[in-house]
Amino acid sequence: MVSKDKIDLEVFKVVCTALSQSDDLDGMTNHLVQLLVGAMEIKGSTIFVLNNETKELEILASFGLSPDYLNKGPVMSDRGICALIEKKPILVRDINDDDRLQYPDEAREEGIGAIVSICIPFREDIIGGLRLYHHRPWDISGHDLDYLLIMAEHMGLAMMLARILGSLWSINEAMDDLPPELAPFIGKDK
Amino acid sequence: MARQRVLVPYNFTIHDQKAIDFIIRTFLAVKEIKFTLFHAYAPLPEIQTGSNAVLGRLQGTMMSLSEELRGQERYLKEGREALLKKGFSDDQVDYIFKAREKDVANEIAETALKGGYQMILLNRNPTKITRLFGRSVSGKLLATLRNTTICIVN
Repeated sequence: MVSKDKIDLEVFKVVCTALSQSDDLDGMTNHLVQLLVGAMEIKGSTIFVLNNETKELEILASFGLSPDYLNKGPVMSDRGICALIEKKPILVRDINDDDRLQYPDEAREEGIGAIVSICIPFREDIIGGLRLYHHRPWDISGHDLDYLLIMAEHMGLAMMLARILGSLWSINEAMDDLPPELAPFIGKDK
Repeated sequence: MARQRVLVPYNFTIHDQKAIDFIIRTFLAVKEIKFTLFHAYAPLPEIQTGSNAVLGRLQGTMMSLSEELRGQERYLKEGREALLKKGFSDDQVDYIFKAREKDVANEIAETALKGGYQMILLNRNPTKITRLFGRSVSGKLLATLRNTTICIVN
């Protein structure tokens, strides 16, 4: 079973730079999953956003996994290996020796040997998830897991910032569309 | 009569399949139309290694991943093949596969303008929460493009 520290401070700095330097969440999360796959020498990685209404984990960015696997069906936050219930990492060290997977056959077909599932928090809430997929059975080191938990916290902040900026853009665009006759009512000159 | 050109952003999801199904249902009998499936992938990040051995190794690994990234082109080819199998002719469907240089909406808008596309066929899922984490691609295209039909498959 594979187990070795893969993340050190230099790698962590590269990941944090990717997180902080992009103002485009799509670009940032794509770089993040790519860097994690490269640094940890794993098969793939996915970042999810939690939809509280549907309880579904929606894919925000993914790397290394096939469209067939990504389109396998909804990933539910209250089923399978979702870390969101327990609010702590879930480690599936060997998918053939674990009955918690929501889509075990699809995972085997995809060539996945192990999965690590981590919450993305924002303050007291869980807003998403980060998953890492290894080709082989995998016992991720505690050292790497600690780094990933810190990254997930940073990710939560970046995702919320992107959401707030998105809302501001929408408000700004709506304000631009207001008829000029309404300008005095909102304290703007015509 | 000149063929109408339609740009179809395609990200290999089940929602993109809705757009493909719409094309098949609506345009199969129309010969004077040409579709371009479009995918702009996020390129790998550049890593400044300096003399750091760990980052040098990471850069090496990332270079091997670039092959995998370019390999996604096959999914676009499969999308094109699916349309050909349904009866579209070889010269009615092509594709563009490129590294993303700007955000998705700007990539689509620039490609549409440069390529002289008259229509963009988008799909959207209004219940998706991910739409709240950035500016809406369809909204941005509607605000940016003039004299271009934007068809949204909901």
